[in-house]
Amino acid sequence: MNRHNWLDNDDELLAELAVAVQAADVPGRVIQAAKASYTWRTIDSDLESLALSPEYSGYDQSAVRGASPESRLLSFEHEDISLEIEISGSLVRGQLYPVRSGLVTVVTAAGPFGDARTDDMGCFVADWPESGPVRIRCQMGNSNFITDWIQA
Amino acid sequence: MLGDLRYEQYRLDDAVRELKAARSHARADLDKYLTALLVKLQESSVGAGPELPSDRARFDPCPRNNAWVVVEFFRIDCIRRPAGASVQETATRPVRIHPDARRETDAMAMVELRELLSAAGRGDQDAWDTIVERFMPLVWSITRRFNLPEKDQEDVSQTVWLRLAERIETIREPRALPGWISTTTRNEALAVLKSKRRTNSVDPYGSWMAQTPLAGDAVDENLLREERQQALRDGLAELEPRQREFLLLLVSDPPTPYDEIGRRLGMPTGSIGPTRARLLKKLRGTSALRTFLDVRSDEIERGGESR
Repeated sequence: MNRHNWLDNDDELLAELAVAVQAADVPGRVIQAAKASYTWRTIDSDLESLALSPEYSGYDQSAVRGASPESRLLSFEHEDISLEIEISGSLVRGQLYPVRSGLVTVVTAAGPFGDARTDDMGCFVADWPESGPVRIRCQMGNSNFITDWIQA
Repeated sequence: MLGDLRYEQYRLDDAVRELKAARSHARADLDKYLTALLVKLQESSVGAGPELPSDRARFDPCPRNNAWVVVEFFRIDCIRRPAGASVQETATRPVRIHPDARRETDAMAMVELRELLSAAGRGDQDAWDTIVERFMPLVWSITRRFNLPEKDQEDVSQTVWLRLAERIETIREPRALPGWISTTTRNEALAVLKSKRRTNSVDPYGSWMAQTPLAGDAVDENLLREERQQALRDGLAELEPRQREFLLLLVSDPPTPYDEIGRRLGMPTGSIGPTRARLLKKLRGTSALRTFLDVRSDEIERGGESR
């Protein structure tokens, strides 16, 4: 192993330096967006977090039953509550278990994107953005939930 | 395998404590230690998990970040102790700075980061901004390696930061932060690639996906590279402004021609070659690079002795 080749040779050191400098060359708007992310922090202690269920990490759909090539199924959970959603194109269909009635809001980094009330089966259909970070807020009477941020 | 572990805060705390205690152990001992730890974690998890593989595959990244940070903590700690590094290699590079010096700097950096994390957890926007500035190069360099269009890179980056903002107060161990960030960034970048695959009948990422760096060694390599790049940037920052400008012109993309460099810095073109050699030598001698290398040499040496 010649782990120090990159350092001992002038050309290689310069090449490493180029990579290091370019890696740090992040567009200003990306840094601004990252700093602004902080204002989105959930500080409402009444809001429970629904975490992306581990088997869906990386949003891998290969093992999900009924997943069509055009849609994605995702699942979020917190203790005994789960939210399953199916995203297809500009719509998201979802269901909350156990069944609850209330207001579901799709939220992007720019603010609320669309909302819908759940029906008597706990199901809803709402508008879904084309891209970017997004999460779902569920206001269900006394209990309120919010999912992890995911990419639309 | 790790995905089956049921994560709870007290288990993470226990794991971190154990790994801290294990820091003084040699690499082989650390491997045993981690295996024992994983078995323990698994036994305490809900339901029976699959068997632990006996090879290094057990260090494969876990899609579930919270179990991952345990392993990441371990990995960051032993990353400067690469497997296969020989004693001979060390012999050619004598230690010039006592490794304790680096450990002290390291410890100070960790104290500082711990304070930033805790301030950001309390709602301090300035602390958050500092964390963003410090770790954004890490996020960005990972997204760049996935060859995503810039818009997707931006979405990945913002998703990572939004998620971190949500859980900043739960990260108590500053050493776990770079690991959490790089794993989350990689997972989100992979999610984008998968969604591209879904919508494109022809898969432009197919060949690339086959070589996605997900093995433990590759992750070690990634983190090592980030550390090296940070050392280079720190070293550059130590140079005089004019010297820094000279090197930045040399590494600009596209490269600046020598006569242009000469014109901008008011120096004869003929002296650029020798100046380049002199400044690279100076860069090697900066405390950032010397510390980076000396710690590595020292740890390679200690790793070798323990065999």
